[in-house]
Amino acid sequence: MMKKLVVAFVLLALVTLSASAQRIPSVTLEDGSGKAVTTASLIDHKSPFVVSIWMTTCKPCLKELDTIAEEMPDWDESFPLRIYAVSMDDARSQKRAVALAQGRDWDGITALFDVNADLRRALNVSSVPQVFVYDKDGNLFYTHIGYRPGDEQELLNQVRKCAGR
Amino acid sequence: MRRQIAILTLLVLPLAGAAQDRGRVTGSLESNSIYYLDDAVVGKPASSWGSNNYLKLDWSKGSFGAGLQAEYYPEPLAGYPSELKGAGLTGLYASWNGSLAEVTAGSFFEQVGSGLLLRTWEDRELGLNNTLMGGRIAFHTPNRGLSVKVFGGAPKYGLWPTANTAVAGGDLSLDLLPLFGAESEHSIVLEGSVTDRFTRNVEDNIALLAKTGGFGVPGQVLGWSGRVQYAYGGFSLKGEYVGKGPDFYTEHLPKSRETYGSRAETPRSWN
Repeated sequence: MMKKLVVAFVLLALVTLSASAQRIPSVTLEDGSGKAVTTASLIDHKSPFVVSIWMTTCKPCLKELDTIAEEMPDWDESFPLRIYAVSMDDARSQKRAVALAQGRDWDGITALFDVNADLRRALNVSSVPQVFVYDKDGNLFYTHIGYRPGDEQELLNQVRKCAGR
Repeated sequence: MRRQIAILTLLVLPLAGAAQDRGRVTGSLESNSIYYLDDAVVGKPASSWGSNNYLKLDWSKGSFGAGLQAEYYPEPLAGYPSELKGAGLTGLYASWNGSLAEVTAGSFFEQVGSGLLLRTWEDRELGLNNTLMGGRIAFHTPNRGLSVKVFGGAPKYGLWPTANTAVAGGDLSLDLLPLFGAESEHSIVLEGSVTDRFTRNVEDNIALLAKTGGFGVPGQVLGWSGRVQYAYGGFSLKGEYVGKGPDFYTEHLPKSRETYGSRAETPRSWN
């Protein structure tokens, strides 16, 4: 019985390993004032965008978003750099996440909140920070887990590549 | 000197596949396994190894979706609930997600308000997953001035939904300014929720009442919550009032503590 279950797990995994274009899941998030924001509304069919998954208790997440915010004034591409920082904090710590996002110098970064963990489950996020770069039509182009100094440069390079630069 | 060596392997495979006309499949496979050596200080767990394994698959095509989650614990990791031992299909759902409405049949995660009244979620690091197995219908107006949802189901405990407990509820949200067609930077939201929990094993409760001398799990517990929220620019103010009918904790826990001291425990059927 045990062997059969293990084999079933592996087979099911292998069946789904044919990687291909993955669109951003259709999920409803909240902005800082509690208004609903759908992930579909992030797609503008003009420019790529970044979804950065973070939590208030995750220091590397905050460091990554801080460094991205520092890089934004130097963004000299012809298309806007659209960064959506999606907090995985639950309803109890969401208020702290809203205050933290507003209190930090994240000019140009849009903070959103995944209070019911819908996006976390849909994207199969198991650890933070994790960033996703989607093309202008919402197809996944690049993803990365964790943060080390310098990773933000690779992220921005991937955004440029995604836009065909 | 460190006498215990734990070997941890963590495997997380995000999976994705798609075919033009068959929809899109995404998923993840996660495996956490530890082999425990004897430790002179903390001893050795009952089992010399533990392994928690999760497989999640989701399919979507247009507005339709379906998915499952299977979990396999040949031996749960030390510290995880022993009820998890074995294998089970801990999630199975089908859903339709339109522009104004959403229908889910099967397992789903739901939360009303701050979660004080009802919150179902999964935290693999804690071994917690109390997903509801049942159904949910949600609707909102185009400007989201009015949002309504109703739901009901049996919470999962261990690897399967509980056989003797069910939860039903509803949630209403009124975003007043869009609701009346006003455009403003101010936001005033009024919300209300109600939940009802049913426990079916009346015989067990009677036995429990006799055994414990008067406290047990009520057959039905009604809960409600009212919320108000005001936001303007970077300022927001939220308030919530939650009420609940007589329950094991609210009515009987002081008595159970008096009788049994700190060893008083919640009956399993309540969880």
